[in-house]
Amino acid sequence: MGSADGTLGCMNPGAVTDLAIAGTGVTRDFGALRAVDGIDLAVPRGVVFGFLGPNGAGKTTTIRLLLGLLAPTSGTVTVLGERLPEGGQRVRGRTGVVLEHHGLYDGLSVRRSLEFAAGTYGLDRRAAGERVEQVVDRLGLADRLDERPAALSRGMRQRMAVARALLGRPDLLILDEPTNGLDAEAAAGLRAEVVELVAGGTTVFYTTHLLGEAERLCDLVTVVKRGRVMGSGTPAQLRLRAPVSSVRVEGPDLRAHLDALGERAPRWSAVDADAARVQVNGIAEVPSVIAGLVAAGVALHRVEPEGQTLEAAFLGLVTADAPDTDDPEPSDIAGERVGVSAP
Amino acid sequence: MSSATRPAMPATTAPEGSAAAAQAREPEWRLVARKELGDLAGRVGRRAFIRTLVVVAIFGILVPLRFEGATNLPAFFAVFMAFLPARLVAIDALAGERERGTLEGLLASPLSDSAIATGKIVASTVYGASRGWLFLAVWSASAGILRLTGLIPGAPLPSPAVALGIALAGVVVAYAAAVFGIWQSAFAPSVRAIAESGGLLRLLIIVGVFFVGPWLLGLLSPDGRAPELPLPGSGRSVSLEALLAAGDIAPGSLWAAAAVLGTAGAAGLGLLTAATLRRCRREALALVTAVEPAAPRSRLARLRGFARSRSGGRN
Repeated sequence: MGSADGTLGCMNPGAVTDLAIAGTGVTRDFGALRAVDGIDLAVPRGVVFGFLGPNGAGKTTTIRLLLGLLAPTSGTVTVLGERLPEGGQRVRGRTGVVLEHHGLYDGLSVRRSLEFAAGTYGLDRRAAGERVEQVVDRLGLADRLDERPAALSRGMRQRMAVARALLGRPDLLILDEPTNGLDAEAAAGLRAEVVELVAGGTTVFYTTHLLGEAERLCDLVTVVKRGRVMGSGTPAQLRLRAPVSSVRVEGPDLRAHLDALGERAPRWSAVDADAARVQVNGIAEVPSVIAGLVAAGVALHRVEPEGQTLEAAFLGLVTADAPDTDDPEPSDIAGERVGVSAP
Repeated sequence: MSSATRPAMPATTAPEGSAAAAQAREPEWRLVARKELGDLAGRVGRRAFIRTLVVVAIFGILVPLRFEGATNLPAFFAVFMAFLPARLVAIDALAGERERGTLEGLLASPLSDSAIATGKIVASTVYGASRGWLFLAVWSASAGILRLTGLIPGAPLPSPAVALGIALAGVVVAYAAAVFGIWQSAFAPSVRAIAESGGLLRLLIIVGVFFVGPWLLGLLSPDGRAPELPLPGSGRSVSLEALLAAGDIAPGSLWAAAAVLGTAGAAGLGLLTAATLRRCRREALALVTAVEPAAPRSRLARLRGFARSRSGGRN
């Protein structure tokens, strides 16, 4: 989804006509504790929106606000055009959710659990049964329908939770760490499922601690800490904010040229005859280092800062003391202001 | 899930079922009630469930053997049998789901708050009342057999009117137990917390409703007579029946009093139901499932803190 150059390749442009989630100055207090602290939300329809943060960052509280389960202490939340919490029931009718707990009933077979869930979306018994068959067949779970959740592996229970979320053909899918406990194959399958749903126009609100997963899957990412937005943008935009400690440079006979420079060369290590890794002290130092090499007669074909992963950017953001007020402007997709920014 | 090549589901189309299906769809409260009873049966397990029914049945057979003649005490047992299971299911309805991690999923569903609460109340009531009815049925059947066979000619057999009254009383008591239990369950962190809370008020209500009241009315007496209570200083004793007689309460006014008491009881039950539905609002429930607010300090703890601050922090 979020490709290396920051474009939103898999996003359905036609679906981005309005916002699936909009929030302004959303704050939620629990007594003296401020769990969500004045965040603004603007998530267009038909994207995967990554909501990342360490434990206790306010992710779960935000999800509860988006479902209308909690009312904001201040600020406004609008989801799928419905103001919350007043329109919570209508929003929940168009939303599928995978929460931290799989939420399957110990005393019911998987079939009955799922049929109950389908019934909550207004399907009668026959239609609910048919819909369950469709979804479990699609997820490869048809042979486990008559088992109890206790008899299933954790990964299988998580799949069942995903199946339950899909029963109502949701316009918005909220996935709270959905790949927790899944093996690599199952996690990849779930990500593929998300990609397909988004291609069909569904908006996905995705939380995960797996930053590589967020990097591959999300069109937009927001990092929160203690209820405040620390940074936001496309994964590519956030990657640019990661600290840079080295630059990979490539050029013909580069190793020989750098050897010839002797002590005049910056600290470097060879990758191969035509490539080297040059140490820098932050991204700001890169232009001067490169300019020095060029001035010394070193021909360069390619210069690429290293270490700029979403994980590095995330760690940089969550270890910061305060939200970055110099946040770059949120991306502009099809004329819409998107992403999340601190007030 | 294992393959990205499966056809995508039409994610934005309306839910299946069309208008006809929507018309035939089950009311939300009934959907919840059915889920509650199914989940309960599954968790309790078939064997344990059958064992419970056998115990109730044995009790129903033994009662007419012991209490020859009077139907008061078996009737009381039948109502009590409706009360206990209804209460046990009700206190588990929200607190138990919270413990098992299913409550938030239920709240995140499109079901309305009132449908969730009503479904749980109905399930608890049905479960409790059915246990009371089972006892009533076994008792009546065994008493009838004992009479017919001549083994115990005086075995207590409720008349149809009395049996209907007991059955209705079982429903009312099970309903009250369900509403009160769910009201408690809405804010309790766990079922165990409710079971161990030992609230004095609850104890007084149970003792009053199920023991002192029935005893004063003579329901706990095998012969159905009210006990004689000594009047301090007078050297005399009096029973509730005697008090009614002394007050010259005519049968008509007794019915009027019963009607007033019944109306007051129904109003109280209505208020309790309204309070329960209000308490079951998502905000309150979600608060418990979300961040636990700091526990308020007890008055004693506040006084200790105050005393410490006055003594300059010395202990």
